[in-house]
Amino acid sequence: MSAPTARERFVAELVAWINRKLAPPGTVVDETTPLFAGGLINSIRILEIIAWVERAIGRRVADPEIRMDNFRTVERIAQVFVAEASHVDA
Amino acid sequence: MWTPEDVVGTLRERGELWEAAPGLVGLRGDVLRLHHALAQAIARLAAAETDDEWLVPAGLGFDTLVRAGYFQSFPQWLTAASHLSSDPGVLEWVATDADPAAAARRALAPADAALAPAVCYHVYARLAGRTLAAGRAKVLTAQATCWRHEGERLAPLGRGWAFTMREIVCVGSLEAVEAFRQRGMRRATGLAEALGLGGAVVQASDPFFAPTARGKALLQQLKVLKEELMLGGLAAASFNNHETFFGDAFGIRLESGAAAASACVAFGLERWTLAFLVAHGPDAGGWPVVD
Repeated sequence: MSAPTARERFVAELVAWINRKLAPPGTVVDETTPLFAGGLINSIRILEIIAWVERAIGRRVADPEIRMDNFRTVERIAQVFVAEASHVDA
Repeated sequence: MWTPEDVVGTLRERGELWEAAPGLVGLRGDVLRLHHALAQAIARLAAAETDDEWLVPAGLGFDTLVRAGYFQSFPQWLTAASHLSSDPGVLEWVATDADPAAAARRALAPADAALAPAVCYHVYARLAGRTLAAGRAKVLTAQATCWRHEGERLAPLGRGWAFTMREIVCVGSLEAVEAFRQRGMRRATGLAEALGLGGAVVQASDPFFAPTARGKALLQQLKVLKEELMLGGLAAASFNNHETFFGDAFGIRLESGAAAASACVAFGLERWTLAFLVAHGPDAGGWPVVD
């Protein structure tokens, strides 16, 4: 069995963090859950997610990058911000 | 092409524009006729969406603003409505003071109401606690003087402390209010084109008050909840989807029991007037017909 890629590790850790920190009781988020449907993410939580992603990828996320297309799901965040073979320090 | 400064300077020289205080502008003559004609054109645009026209009160209670989260979002703009103490002794002191203006400042009662910073807060307050009829979005329109104090950024016609706003407001399902917002964008850009003003719709976010500003603005940006029609560098109209923020805050519900969503389309009439004058000049002889 091969070691998880950086992107797979990013996805697993972000999903775990969202479930631990942000998801309301009874809600389970996975990598394909739409993050912005149903009021899961509010104005505070979007900042927390961005801060988590910035820590993980080791750089700032520029405001123009903060688009629905880039943040729709955890899977999509990983595709946009984590190169398959990159080093991720989540 | 004229600059806003040249337009305002020319109107001032003609006595068609003056300021009672920074940001409080008066108009007369041709420019006032133009302002009325543009207001009517925008009212017709609103009438295509709804025949439910409201005359909203000039101010609103702090309780409504609290409920709307205004003090967390835009406290920097607030203009309160106060009045002098009703105590006869205090009034006598103000009336006879050598500097009655300074005395009056000290004798103002604590404010409990504000001059309206936007039209749509009145709507949510009126609909508070109600359940909308099944499948029927509530759409209405109103024009009113609104007050936002933007400090040093005030400019005649471009950024008034008091200005005239026409709003069309829709309360209903998420799908209905977004469709309404999109229609509003098409109607407003169509009007700007018909008037020879050009313009472009751009994505925008509100200037929320810190410390929650960045998160709120980024969420608006990410979800494309706010767009503006820019005419000559100024936002002349805005198209805003509030999702269920006001429905939740004011207890406005759909028949299903879910919180209603809302959207508003807002026009800053003095900015339309300024954009028209910048595009066509301050001389009425050079103006296209406004209809």
